[in-house]
Amino acid sequence: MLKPIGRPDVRGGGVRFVVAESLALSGLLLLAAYVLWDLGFVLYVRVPSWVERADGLFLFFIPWQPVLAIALGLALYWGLQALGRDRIAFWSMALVAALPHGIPAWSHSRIGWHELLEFQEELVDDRSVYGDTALFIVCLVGLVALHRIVGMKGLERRMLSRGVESLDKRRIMRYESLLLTALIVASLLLTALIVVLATVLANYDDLLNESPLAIVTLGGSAALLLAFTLLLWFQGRQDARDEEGTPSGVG
Amino acid sequence: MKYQPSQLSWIAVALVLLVLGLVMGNVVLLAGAVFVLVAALLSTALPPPSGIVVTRSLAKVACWVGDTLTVERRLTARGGIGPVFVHDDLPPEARVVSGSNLRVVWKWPGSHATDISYEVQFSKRGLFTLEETGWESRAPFGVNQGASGSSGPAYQVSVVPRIRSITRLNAVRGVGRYGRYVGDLARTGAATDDFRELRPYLPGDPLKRINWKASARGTRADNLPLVNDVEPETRKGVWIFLDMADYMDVGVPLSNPLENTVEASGTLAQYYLAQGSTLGAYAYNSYDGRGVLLTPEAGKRQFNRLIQMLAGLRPGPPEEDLLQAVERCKSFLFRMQPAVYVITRLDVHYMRPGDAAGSFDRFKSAVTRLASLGTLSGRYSPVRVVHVDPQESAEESQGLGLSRWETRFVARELRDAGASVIEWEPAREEFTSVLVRHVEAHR
Repeated sequence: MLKPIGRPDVRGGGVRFVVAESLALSGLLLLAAYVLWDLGFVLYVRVPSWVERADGLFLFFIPWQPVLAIALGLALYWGLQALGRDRIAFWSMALVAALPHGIPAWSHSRIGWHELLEFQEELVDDRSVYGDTALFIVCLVGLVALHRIVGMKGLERRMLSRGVESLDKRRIMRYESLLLTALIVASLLLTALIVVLATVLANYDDLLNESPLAIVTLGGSAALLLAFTLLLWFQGRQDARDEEGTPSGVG
Repeated sequence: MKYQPSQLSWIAVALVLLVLGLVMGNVVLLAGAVFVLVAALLSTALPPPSGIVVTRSLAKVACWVGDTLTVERRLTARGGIGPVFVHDDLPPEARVVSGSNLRVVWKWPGSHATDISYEVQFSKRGLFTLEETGWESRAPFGVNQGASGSSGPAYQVSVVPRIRSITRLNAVRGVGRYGRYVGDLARTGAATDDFRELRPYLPGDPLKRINWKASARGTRADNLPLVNDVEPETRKGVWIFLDMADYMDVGVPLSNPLENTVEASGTLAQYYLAQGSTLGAYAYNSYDGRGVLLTPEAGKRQFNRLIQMLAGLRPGPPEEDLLQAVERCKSFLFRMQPAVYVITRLDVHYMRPGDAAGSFDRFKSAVTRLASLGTLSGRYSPVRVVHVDPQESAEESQGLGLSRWETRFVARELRDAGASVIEWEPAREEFTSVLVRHVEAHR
């Protein structure tokens, strides 16, 4: 029987992650709202008259639309979580946060499917590909971070329910946060390196009979990365099976 | 279990971005795919801790109740990075007093070894099993499959009741000089060649002891044959009745009437066996509904047998009373005619209105029957009833002190029945002190 040391405090430990989760999600939704605003989408919402009056008096500085979007998003996320639909909550928020980035991304397609389909031509105008790429990657960073925060919350809950000492728990959480930061920084650096390489190569696009070298470089890199990731993932699974099959330690 | 997006979900997301990026020739989507894949690759490339070995050792596998036992554990991991959970499943009777039986250790790259000891205290007697140490490794981002296993053999820890020192009791001059307990001569034990007397045959006597010539004279009205009674090698006979009913198992685990009963019997056994006495014991109301009998023997081995018996005793429902216990042991009691100790709580024998009539009468009748053994032997070997005070809490003891009043009432009745009552309050004094006082009072 495992003997808890001290008093398990499940709620106390979870609050920190609930705040972090909410902040990450708010950031993602804010970013999505900004992208939509930048594209010229305006959401008209009818509000009660007293809100309009209050807004006119002293709340005029509050950007109602993003606040409303964030509030709705958070309510949906936590509502689904409260109903036990964690998977739907995460992926629906991921879609809500990432889909607005799809519109500017669409505008930078080198193969003009949108032109063939004859719509959204006004979005193809002079948008910066670097700016849109940066915003999209920031969105992905946020999603990866949110994913890890959810994972860390699960780990902390598991430790609390099993009665792990708070000192051990804090240490593990600190190292997990440290590794998450390192992972994001390293991923950003590597991605930047590959993008810069692709950009440099894009100058020589005409070398391959006008085939887009940037696309080829990025696509090739991504395919290689995918292959490596899958390889490592399967190897990890195999190692784990081997490890469990090996008798260890005689006390 | 809360949902955690798996690594495969991210790989799928990256694959979608990659395919869309290639189909549309879209740099933004491809850059996104590259970022997700780099993050997935880096997190997958960090393997969970591997080559894990947990060694465990115990300084001793036998200890006294309440003793602190140090469990030394050493975790060694060869490679990988991430948390490693190490846990020992402990029996409910074990209490961790220092450290923790569940530790989570963070493993950085490279070989890693750490000591994760803890101290445990057993609050009850018995034979307990410490199962193998379990461990579980986990990849840092929870994205890779960890491993789990167990190490080391399971240990059997024998927790024996704590027996107080009897030095003080031996130092009481009255015991040796006036021979307060010397009169408790046993009728059994290894027989010597010294003829003592002719007596009627009793069940259990060996046939070779029958004196056929004397029996043939036929002087006895009951026609029982006569046997040659010889002096036993041992000098005294002692019998202990332990009440193991669940009403004894009240209060804190380390010091409740049940544990105190065990401690008192151990102390008595130590004292008598050290003096060469023959000792037998019977624990009634044990957990399986049947009593536990320790057949009378003398010597150090008998003490070990008693300790083993005490270690395995568990409380049970009060289905067997003292009278039934005496019935079960009567063959031994008749042969030994020992000094008898009954260790119980007297307040529970008080008959309250509405209680089943006759339970106290049966208890008193058992005491009377035991007291009559002394009359049979012609020696002074009284029945000593030890009352173990249940140590009421401060709030309870501020009341009317009803249980104390009940104890006194029952004690008075028992004294009238020929028993000597020893009242022991374990919270205030050791059992040895009570015995010393009791001996001195009867000098």
